[in-house]
Amino acid sequence: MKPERTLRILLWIIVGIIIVRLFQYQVLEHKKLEILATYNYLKEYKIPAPRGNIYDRNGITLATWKPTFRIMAIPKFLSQEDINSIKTLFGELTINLDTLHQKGNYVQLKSMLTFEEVVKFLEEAPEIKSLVIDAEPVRTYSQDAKYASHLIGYVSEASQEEIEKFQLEYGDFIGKAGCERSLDTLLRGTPGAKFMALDSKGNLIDDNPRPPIEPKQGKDISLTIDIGLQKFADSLFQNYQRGAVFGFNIKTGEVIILYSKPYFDPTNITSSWKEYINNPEKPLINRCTQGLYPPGSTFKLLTALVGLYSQTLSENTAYYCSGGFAFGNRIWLCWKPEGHGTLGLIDAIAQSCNVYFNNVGAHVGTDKFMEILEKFKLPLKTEIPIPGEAKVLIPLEDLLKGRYILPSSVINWSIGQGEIQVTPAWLSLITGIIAGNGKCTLPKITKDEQEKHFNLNLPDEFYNIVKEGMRRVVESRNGTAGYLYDPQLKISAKTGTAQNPHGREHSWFTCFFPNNNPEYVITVLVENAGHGSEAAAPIAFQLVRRFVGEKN
Amino acid sequence: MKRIRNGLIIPPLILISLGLVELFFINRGLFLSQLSKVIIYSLLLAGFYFLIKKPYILNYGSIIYYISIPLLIATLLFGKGGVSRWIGVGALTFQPSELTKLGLIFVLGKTLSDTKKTIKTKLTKALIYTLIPFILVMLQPDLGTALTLLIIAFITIWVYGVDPMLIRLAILIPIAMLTSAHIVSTIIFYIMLLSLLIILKEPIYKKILTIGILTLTSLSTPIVWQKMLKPYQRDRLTAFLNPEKSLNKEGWQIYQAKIAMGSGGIIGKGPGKGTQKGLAFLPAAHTDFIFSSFGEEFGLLGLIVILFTFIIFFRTILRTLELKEGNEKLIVSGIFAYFFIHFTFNILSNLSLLPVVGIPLPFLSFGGSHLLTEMASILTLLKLEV
Repeated sequence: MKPERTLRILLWIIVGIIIVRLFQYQVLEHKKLEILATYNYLKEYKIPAPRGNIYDRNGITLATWKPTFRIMAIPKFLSQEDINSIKTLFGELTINLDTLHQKGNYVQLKSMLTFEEVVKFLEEAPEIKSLVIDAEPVRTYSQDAKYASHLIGYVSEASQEEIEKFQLEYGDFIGKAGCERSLDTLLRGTPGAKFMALDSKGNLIDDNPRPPIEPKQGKDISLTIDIGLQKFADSLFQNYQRGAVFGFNIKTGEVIILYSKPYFDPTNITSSWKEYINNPEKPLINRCTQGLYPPGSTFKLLTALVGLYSQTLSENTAYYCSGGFAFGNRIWLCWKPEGHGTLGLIDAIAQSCNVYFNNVGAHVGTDKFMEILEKFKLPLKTEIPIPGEAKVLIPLEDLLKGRYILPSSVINWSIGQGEIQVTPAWLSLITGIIAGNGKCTLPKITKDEQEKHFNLNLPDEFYNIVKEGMRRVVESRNGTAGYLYDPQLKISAKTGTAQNPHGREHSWFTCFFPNNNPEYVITVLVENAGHGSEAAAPIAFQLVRRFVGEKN
Repeated sequence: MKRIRNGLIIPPLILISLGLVELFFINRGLFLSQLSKVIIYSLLLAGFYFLIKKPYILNYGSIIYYISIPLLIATLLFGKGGVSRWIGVGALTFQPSELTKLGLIFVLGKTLSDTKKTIKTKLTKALIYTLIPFILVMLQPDLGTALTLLIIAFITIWVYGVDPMLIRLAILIPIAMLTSAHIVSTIIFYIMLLSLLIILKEPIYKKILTIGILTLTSLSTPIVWQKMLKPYQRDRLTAFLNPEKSLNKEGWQIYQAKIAMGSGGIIGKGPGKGTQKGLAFLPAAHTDFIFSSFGEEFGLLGLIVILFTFIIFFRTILRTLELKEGNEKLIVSGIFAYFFIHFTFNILSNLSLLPVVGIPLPFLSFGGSHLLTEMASILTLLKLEV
């Protein structure tokens, strides 16, 4: 073959290869490569959305946001010198640049800066490539928000785990406790995006190559509590170190008060974190839903229902109290050393006679007691939408696995001692169930939540007997809270004095009102404050007085 | 005759104009610099065209070769920049290796067409003429130019007409080197080689010689590759196979070139709208990668215009080649080889089909040395037509 011919064929082969390749690049892979070309120069960063506001039931702002500043840059354009100058101005960076996989995107170097800090930075820092200073909305809380801190919760920077789970970025805030956590997806809002065009060296070409996507603020939330009442509760607790108040509407489930002492200030949670964690009083614990305490005499309400259900007890059953109850070779003392004499069920509730309920328990028997409680199918949590609620411990087979159960155990259970541990919120639910003749709406923290109902279907007369006893706790002269009687307030209640191995008794008081048409439940717990009638009951009365007064 | 003259003048003019258009949108300074070179060189060469007669070119063209060799040595001694490819006086810099290519073409033409010498002497001389500049540019080091010199010599010798075995070996040796990368490809290569040799009617000693040389190549290549090349050198040579994964400069370049052309699509982003070259993601957009840069802004259609202009140009040279004899034919084939290698290497490396070796795209790439050589080559072709 002549070389000319071969060269001509070779020419066509080469051109053919080129055209096939060009077809591949410019037609088949065009879409993909166009995106890659765009990625090359178009950089994007997230504009965080302001969190939704949190209001109390009267529209008072508890949590809102304020603008601060943050600085961002693309790590691959930063020289060591740039990083050093940022560090000398602001200290350590928010993010460890060495651990980043992707160094071609914006990351947040420092957040929550004030205007003054930013101005100083701009004056002192040399020209840093790809640097962006932008506003950042930061959560702020009102002065009074601390009185409801356990309900409101707090926000802080998302952990590695949360970043992966919720597809967040370093430096994003997330609710960590309270409704900030449980309603985080509502409150968080939708972040926007801002676009920048940079060349391959990190020089800004265009600061608005595409219209930015505006962030959408999170939804506002109205809690059902009244911050005034929370603050008032705090004033009633000034002589006590630790305690809790929980109250809710048994018809709608709306929580009217959720107070736990000691509390924390959600505003400076990050700076005071160590202090809060190391505080032996454990201010981060929500005592309403996480504090487990022996219920003491308040549990007698359930004991009465169990007894009535077992048919070993009726309204007219009478036992004699001599001041002590003997079972086996042990004696349980009544709180009244001289004894209550002969009592019926209603007076036994009103006067909180231990011996009477020891008798009720002994007649039901340990196994039967557990069996009946099992049949009641009581929820072990109130399911209130606040993270971290503790499960109560009541005499159920599942819960007491691995513990010694003796025939005498029921003697302790009947008066709310022994293994039994409950939370103030759960005890409120039991009071609510009794007040509503078995029907009670589970507590909720905002109006919009779906109502969840619980029904303990027992004969109405059982409830009426127990409620009559509770009425007499207050209205009878012999009642444990009789000295506080106020005809204006139609309260039915039960006091409790819970023995505990760690010091003085816990003081309990749980009540519902009004008597004739029960609507609200309030439970007060004061840790290590002695008799229920002495510490918890007056606080509850003051709260009801104020609550009813404000309603009218 | 007129058709040939037009075919030699118009396509280069179109290509130079397209190059200038792209340079205009890359950088006005580069555009003006290149435009002034085009004008100065045109005037200069037009003067030559009217002053010098055809026999002079045939007889004294090889002077270019003898001037360029000392210049190449000077480059090695007083070169500018990291790689010693340029020499300069003041602000003027020049790349003598470009001139060497044209010089070699004249020398080879003259040597091989000498009727007084035996074939063996002529081939030996041609080989020495090629190897001297080859070694000098390899020392720079400039692999692209060295390869170009070799292929120019190969095509010229082939057109001159030698034993087909030599041609066959010249083609088969690179294939043997490539296939030695893997045992399977090596086996396939030898099966095909044996069947080829069985079909061919040739003396047995030539067949044995062919097999011997190729086996030696296949065996030595992996050793050279493993023992004599440093890892980064290997990476540079293989970057084009997998540009997305290569983190070195070559890998980045061809990856960005792919993105540039691909994002241009069929009709391109429009003049001056290329983000790859405009925002400096595509390095050397004005020199080695002007093809990609043009493709980003003018798309597949623009590139096809370039390709077909080149085809018309190459076909014209091949037409001339058919009509020529002796020295003239050899010079034409050398010039064809020169353009064709630059065209192929540049575009195929833009398309990540060959490693990037720093060869400009004829007429389009920014730069004076190659433009002057290209224009001088065209002047030679035109002169041969007179």
